[in-house]
Amino acid sequence: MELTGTEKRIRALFFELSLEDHGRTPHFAHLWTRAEATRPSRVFSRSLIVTAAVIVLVVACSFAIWSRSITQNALDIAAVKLPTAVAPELAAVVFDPPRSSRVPRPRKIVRPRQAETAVVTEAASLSAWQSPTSSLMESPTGVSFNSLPQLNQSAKDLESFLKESNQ
Amino acid sequence: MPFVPFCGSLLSYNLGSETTNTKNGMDISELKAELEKLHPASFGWALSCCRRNAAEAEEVLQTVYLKILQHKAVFRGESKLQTWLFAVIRKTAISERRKQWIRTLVPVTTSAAASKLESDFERSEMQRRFQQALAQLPARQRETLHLVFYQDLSLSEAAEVMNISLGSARRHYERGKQRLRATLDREGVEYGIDWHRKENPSAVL
Repeated sequence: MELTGTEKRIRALFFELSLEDHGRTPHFAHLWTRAEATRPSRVFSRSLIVTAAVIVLVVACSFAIWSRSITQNALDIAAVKLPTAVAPELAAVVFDPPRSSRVPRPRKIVRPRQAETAVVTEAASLSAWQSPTSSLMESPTGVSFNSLPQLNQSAKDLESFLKESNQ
Repeated sequence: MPFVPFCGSLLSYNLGSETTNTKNGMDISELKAELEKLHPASFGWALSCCRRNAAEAEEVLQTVYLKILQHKAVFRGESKLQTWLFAVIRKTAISERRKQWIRTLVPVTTSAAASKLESDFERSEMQRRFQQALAQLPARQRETLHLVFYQDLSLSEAAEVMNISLGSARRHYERGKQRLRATLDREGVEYGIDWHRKENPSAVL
């Protein structure tokens, strides 16, 4: 670019200005060292990130374990209470596991007296039950073999005797 | 000096490696050496961006070096290192000035900075008037003239540093020249006569 007279003059003034500026320029090493001293350590920032990640991980794990233990406790309570006083169908209503985060509402009102009556009735029927083979457990001298046939009786007598014995 | 045409865009943020600051794998020690060579010119440009306030210019330059060390300013190899560095300095100076203005709610005035400098340095009458005239120019025109005449950059490089089009840079350059000359003429008759007689002896005054 060819300079005109004005441009040459301006350039000369700027050159004079640059000479003045060079005299007051701070040392590069001084500014660079100060910048390096100001710079936060990258190692520190990395360790900070790692520490934060570990803390987040630990918190997440502990929360997961805690929520799991809470759920397990609820199931244990259900398992303990089921066979004692409440009928299975009622237990299913009472200990229905929650499907959402909201507190589950029971669909039926549990009546304890009805439940007790049902249990007593069932217990009575169970205690009255007898095995069909229990007669075989009795003594052989009780029913069938309390008398013996005589050797001198006829076959007809023997047949009638056996019929009576079977009845 | 054989200068590899590295390059650069403006500020960009990344978490690159510890030892390199450039996209083309330039080592930080190499970059430091190049920055040291450009340091006087960088300080001159920082002075211009900070309205000739030496303390502020030093602070800006230190902040720029810090950005480079922190990999906040990354050299991408798209232009000359000098162009990239000057763009970073300009942005940092603007940012620092804005912060200072917000802190004090009083903008830094040209006259205050100029008067402070005058007490610090002895300069010729001509140089003093030149700097006063320069300070009265709009920022874009002053920056364009500085980059072209002080830093010896081409108009396209100046446009790149200032992040404007070449046409705009040329317009700022021409208007800045005219305005500077007019201001200098107005400042002192003797100076004006000297100017016209030296550069254009046939001028009718």
